[in-house]
Amino acid sequence: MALFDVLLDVTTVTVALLAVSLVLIVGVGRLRSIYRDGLRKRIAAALPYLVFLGIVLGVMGTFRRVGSDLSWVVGIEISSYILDFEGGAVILWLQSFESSALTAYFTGVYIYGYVYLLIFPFLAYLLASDHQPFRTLSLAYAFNYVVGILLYVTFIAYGPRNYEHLGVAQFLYDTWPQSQLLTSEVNVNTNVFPSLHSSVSTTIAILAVKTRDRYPRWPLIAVPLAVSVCVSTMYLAIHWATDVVAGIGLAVIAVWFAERYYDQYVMFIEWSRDRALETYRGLRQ
Amino acid sequence: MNNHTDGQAPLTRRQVVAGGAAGVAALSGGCLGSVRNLLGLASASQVSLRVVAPPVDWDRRANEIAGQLVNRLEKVGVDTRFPLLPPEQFREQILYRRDFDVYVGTMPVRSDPDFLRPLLTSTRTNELGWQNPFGFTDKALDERLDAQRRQAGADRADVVRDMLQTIAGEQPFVPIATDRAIAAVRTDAFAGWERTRLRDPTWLFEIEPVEESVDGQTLRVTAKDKRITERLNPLVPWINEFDLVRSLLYDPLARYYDGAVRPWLAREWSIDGDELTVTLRPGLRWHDGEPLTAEDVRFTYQFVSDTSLDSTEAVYPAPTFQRQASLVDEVTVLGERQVRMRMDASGAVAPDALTVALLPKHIWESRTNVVDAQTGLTRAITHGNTDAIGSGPMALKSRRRERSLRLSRVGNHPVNRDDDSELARRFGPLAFTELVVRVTPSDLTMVSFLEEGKADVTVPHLDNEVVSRIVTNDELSVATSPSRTLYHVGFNARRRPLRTPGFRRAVAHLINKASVVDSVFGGYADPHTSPVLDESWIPGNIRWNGGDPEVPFAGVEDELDADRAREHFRAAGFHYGEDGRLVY
Repeated sequence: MALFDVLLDVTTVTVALLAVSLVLIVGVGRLRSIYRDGLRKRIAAALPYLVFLGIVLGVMGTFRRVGSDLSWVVGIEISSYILDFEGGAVILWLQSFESSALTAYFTGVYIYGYVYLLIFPFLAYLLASDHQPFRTLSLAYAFNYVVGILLYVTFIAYGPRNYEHLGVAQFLYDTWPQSQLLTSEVNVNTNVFPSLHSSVSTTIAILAVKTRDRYPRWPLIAVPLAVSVCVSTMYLAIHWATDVVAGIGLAVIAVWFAERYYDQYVMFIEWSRDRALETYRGLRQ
Repeated sequence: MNNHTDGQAPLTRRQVVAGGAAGVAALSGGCLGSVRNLLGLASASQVSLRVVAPPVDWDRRANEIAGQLVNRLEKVGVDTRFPLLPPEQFREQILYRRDFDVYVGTMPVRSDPDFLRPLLTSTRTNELGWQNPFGFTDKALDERLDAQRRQAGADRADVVRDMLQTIAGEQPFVPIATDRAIAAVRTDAFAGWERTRLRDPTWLFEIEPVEESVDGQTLRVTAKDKRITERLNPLVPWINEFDLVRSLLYDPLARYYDGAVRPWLAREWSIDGDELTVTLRPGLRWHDGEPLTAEDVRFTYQFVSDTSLDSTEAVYPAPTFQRQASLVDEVTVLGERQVRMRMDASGAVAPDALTVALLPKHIWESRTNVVDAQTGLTRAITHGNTDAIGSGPMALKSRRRERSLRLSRVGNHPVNRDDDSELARRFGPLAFTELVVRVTPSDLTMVSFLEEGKADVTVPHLDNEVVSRIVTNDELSVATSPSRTLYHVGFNARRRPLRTPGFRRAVAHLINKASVVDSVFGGYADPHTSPVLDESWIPGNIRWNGGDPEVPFAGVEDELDADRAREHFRAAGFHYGEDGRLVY
């Protein structure tokens, strides 16, 4: 099973989860009324924010590729300090509950659950009655990513699975080696501080609670799932507890940032959209 | 950190000067213990070390050996840090910049003991690669290292024995074990995987198609080293033995196989006194079509000795092959296909000089810029050489960055020619017309590529832990052989306290080599007491006897006896504070 097969696999599962969630969380009634009103206006309103997010992801993704080499020149090695600080204590304790069911659960959560948790709120908030949750989410998400990547370049950190003497097990890659084809495409093994899995999941969980008046059922899924994602990164020995705590801290700051600068952000995006449209019209004439 | 060079100084005096010493130490950087001292967090200066090793993703075994050592160093009161370095950074920080305290890693060792000469000669400490990375200095050893290359027979054996005795006593590095080369192979396309050692350059020359009639097959190899597509430079120092660049893309005049150095691109040579006359095979060409001439041979030896080509005052030898080149005083071109080499070596050592990979003059003569004068790096070494033009039996066809590499067979190479030469009869032609290397992230994904029929063989560097997975699959099998890849602990003798032989020995006493072979390598390794692997060179009193007689493990079974281990540090002139910390 090569990379393509893993991708196909993840896509299939995620699409299925998304479909079920739309019915369960957004609700059939709301979906019907949106269908009647049409989606075009909603997408048009969300598009500038998606473009913004796309640009941020593209720029930072490129920076990250260059950054992993740059990291060795300017970065600070911290895995040895984290090793001294927490050792294998947390990871080994979590792994002491090991069972094949638990391993299957956390493996599923780490790969499928995370992707689902990442995508579903965008979809749900796109269909919400107002724009505010969608916009907040896009800004908080961009913040996570930008700060996360800057920290990746600043700090060189290997996860606990790269220290054999701790005696931690590598459940994910031992039981499902091909998953590394996917994870190695999107991540480098020196980038574990902070845990972006944890920060993004926590961000989404916090926003889920804050927007519970739109989707009362969503926090019931998002919060336990986010907790599971955080725990899974440690259970699978990919992240240190330190990385997860830093990730949660980053999430709290990201949500605060997104709410604090919400107005400026919306003004900036609307202004950019208008300027872009003007330029476009200018070019057509 | 020179202000107290006297390792045996009494504690009281040490405490008096501790403030000043810590200041200087902190300025010179790197030692956390000293920084702590400066902040007033510790009373006497605790011995602190940085132990580096590769991450598990790259080499689980070296990583585990290092982890054990770190735990034991902590037990004997040494403040230890344990950062990880991937191979590219290992090269950069240890083999180029010499910026390390202690590392655990691998080095390729040669069968002839002359490889120790660059490795431990004191005048090489400022050079690159495996030219004395340890900063080890011993005048008497220098003389013997230099003498043995001009000797032969029993005289040489005596000197080598003396050398190995000194090395065992001094422990400039701790040899631990050579791992067994392990590759997973598919059994349906090719056979003959174990005809020679798997990491030898001639390994892939020995295989043949399972079905006689099939020609024009592609050999599909998987590797997990991404740099395999980015570094096709034969002058970059090896960490692992197996190297497609030097085995298939570039060729030497002679190769070591069937127990001796034998003609490769050279058709023959003759030795007359200190002169070696070499005749090239006819019709040799570089992969770009240019003829390979005697002038290229002369150029290669000059270039390897000084990659700045006399353009500067200083000399910038290449990190690889300079040992071989240093056996040659001068190369004279006698004709289009003939050179005469004036040797500075005995007949026993001289043929080894012919194993340098030949470089095309028209490509490398422009790569002479000095990139970093302080470390000695020139363009010749930092260049990725990703459009490699060699003279080997395979030529580079295409590559995809960090994904794949494609080589194709060169029809008129002496191995592939149908001219009934001894070389062609022994090896030729290659059993495959194309070779594709595909990069995957881990040992397990390499094996799963084979399971899915997408590759024929893995590089011969598999972790012994995946063996059980290979043998449960009917279509796969394991190829294995001894290797010359030495797992070892390297010390930087330029730094305190590692410049003290007693300290290095005390560290060596912390390592249980027998148990490492069993538990870390699962038995897929051979323990060593000496960097020279062939027992016949090694004096009887330091040969492996179920343990290392020179630096036996300070413990029972796999349990460290901390008191006994601490005694070794005390004997080396170090002291213990009341809190159990080892102090200067």
